[in-house]
Amino acid sequence: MKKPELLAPAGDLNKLKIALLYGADAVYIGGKQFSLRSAASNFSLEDIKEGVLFAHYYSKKVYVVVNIIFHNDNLVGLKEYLDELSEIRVDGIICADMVVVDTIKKYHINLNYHISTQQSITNSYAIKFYKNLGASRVVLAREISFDQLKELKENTDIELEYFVHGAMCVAYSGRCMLSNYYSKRDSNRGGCSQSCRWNYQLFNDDNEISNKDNYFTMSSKDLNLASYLYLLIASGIDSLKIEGRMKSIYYLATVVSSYRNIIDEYLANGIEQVRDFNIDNLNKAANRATGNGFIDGYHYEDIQLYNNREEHPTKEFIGLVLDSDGEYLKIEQRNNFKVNDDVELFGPNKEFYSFKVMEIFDENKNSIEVAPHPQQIIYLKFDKKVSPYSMLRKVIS
Amino acid sequence: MSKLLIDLYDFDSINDYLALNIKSFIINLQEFSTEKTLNVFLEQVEIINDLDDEIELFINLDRLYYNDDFNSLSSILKKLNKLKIRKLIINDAGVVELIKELGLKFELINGSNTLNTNYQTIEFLSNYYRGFYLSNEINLNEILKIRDNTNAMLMVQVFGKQLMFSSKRKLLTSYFQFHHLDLIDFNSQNPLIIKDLNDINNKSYIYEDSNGTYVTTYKNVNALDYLYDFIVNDIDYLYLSNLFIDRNSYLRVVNIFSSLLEQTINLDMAKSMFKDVNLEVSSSFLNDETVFNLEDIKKMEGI
Repeated sequence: MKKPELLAPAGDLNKLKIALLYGADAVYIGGKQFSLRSAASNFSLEDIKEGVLFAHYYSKKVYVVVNIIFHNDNLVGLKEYLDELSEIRVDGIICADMVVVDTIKKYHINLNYHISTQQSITNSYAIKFYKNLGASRVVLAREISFDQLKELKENTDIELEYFVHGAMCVAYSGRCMLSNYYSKRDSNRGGCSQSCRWNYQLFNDDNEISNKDNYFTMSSKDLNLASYLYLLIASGIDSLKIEGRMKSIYYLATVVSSYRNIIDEYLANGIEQVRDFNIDNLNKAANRATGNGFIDGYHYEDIQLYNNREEHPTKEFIGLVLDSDGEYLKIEQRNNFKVNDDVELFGPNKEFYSFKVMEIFDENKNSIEVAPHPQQIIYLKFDKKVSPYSMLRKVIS
Repeated sequence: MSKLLIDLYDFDSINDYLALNIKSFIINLQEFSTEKTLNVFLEQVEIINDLDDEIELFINLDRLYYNDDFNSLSSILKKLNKLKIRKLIINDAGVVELIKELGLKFELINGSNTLNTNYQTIEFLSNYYRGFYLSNEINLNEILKIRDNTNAMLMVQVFGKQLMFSSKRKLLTSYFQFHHLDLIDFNSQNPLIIKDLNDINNKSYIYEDSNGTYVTTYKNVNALDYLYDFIVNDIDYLYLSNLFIDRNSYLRVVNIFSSLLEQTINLDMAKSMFKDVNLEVSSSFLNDETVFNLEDIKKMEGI
């Protein structure tokens, strides 16, 4: 059975390394220009170069998103940027605006290009259109069901990419201007203010239908297709995509490693049932309720968020392991923790340990009771060597 | 010379517009287009098409399609071809490919209201499309720069509600079901209104059809002040939407635009007549710009 690519987001170089080390086969990243998610740190050309070197060193891939919808003024510098990406030898770019395809073709720039989900590709004819334009892959619309996906895969001979995890646009991607009209922030150029998640009063003429307990919102649940992975793999899908270039390193490590485990366990042993451990892990990283999206048809309110639309950022991630020598773990603190807390350590090489924090040491190895400061360097006694980029999380009962 | 392109309410209303010498109409086809004020079946297209030799119909097939839709789509395209309909407005690149496969010849208009934002894209896509509906979110200077750099047929909306959002999800049905509310009509004939809880100025119409949910502006774009620029720069079609506007008001608005275009009234007279129609209007993005860089966003929001 064909092993699909596990494709993860990376908002900066550190996240790129973490996503790849935790099991992604490829990452997608944004440069400083021409990329949606203006609030993400994004990559300088130097960072992209280093990221590509890192990925290729481990036989993995880097795709660069060039996915804004260009206005006239944005066209300046596009050719030069694409030339640079080609020179850096990125494995492909993901584009939404056909000006990018035009520029690549016109100047014979050596770049693979994938067509973004912003083009809302929902049928075999549209796939053929983009294939004829020279695309090597299309990212399918999130509105596609599994049955439709299967049929598309059977009827096309270019790579298909499908979203399996993360936040979803409630509109057809690229076809929403709420942010533009409501806050003057251009959603198709990276400025989306997520107006769909706001609360609205709903009126029929002058009569209000909503009240303070049931304001109208267009907020979507996040996507979580972990339990459908065996079906997706069996369909021959080429790439399974995780959303979230602005997500934290903890989110990335948790989600990527869970999906890595699920894919590998299915391919190795044919296990269709997702282990509770992986489900728990995914739930720990979630900061919003999740659903199945459109994969098994469309189930109306099941994929919407109503009364429970608040985000719940996790406080479980307490530290990033910078180093370990078999005696101490050197840790950069990320959330408050203290002596006697129960914690779990997990790492890129599938390390997993549970233990109680018996003693904490500051940078000068003085014993302290709590680690209160973000990014404070601290030490914990630990008699095993673990991989750099391992993470500590608090067990919250 | 720029032409006005308008919507219909019913078959009878076409005579009102023919009397104003307006002969370009957008016709929404049941099941194949996003529902608007009037949605007709193919047989009715034939009747309109036969009314006057100079009538120019733009058949709107602006839905996104799934594989299941393509048999009926093929059939409708063949019938439209037989009726000698030439102009189709589409939103799905799959339709371009299907028409190629069927060996049919149409003038295709790329009807995306969010993706046609620069001249180079339009020039490139002119290999596949004859015309382009320019995105509502670009300003006058951007429109004129596109005109300067392409020979493609261009359409700009000069009046009416602007589409802001389309989703496959039945957002109103879901909301009513989730909260166990009695269902009411919320289709293109009976839209509901949403108001942002934190900013009353953010107010829109919302409605559903069998393919999903749509949000439009509450106010009507009114481009009277920009009409000279559009005409003198040869923007081919100036579109006036009738969505959620009563028949009489729409006819009066079309008459004003038509008279200005025909130079039988001047701009001041047009504006004065427009005031009497008493509709809420805005210039939308025509003299405005959106921001997208983080620094610009912070500056705008005073962060």
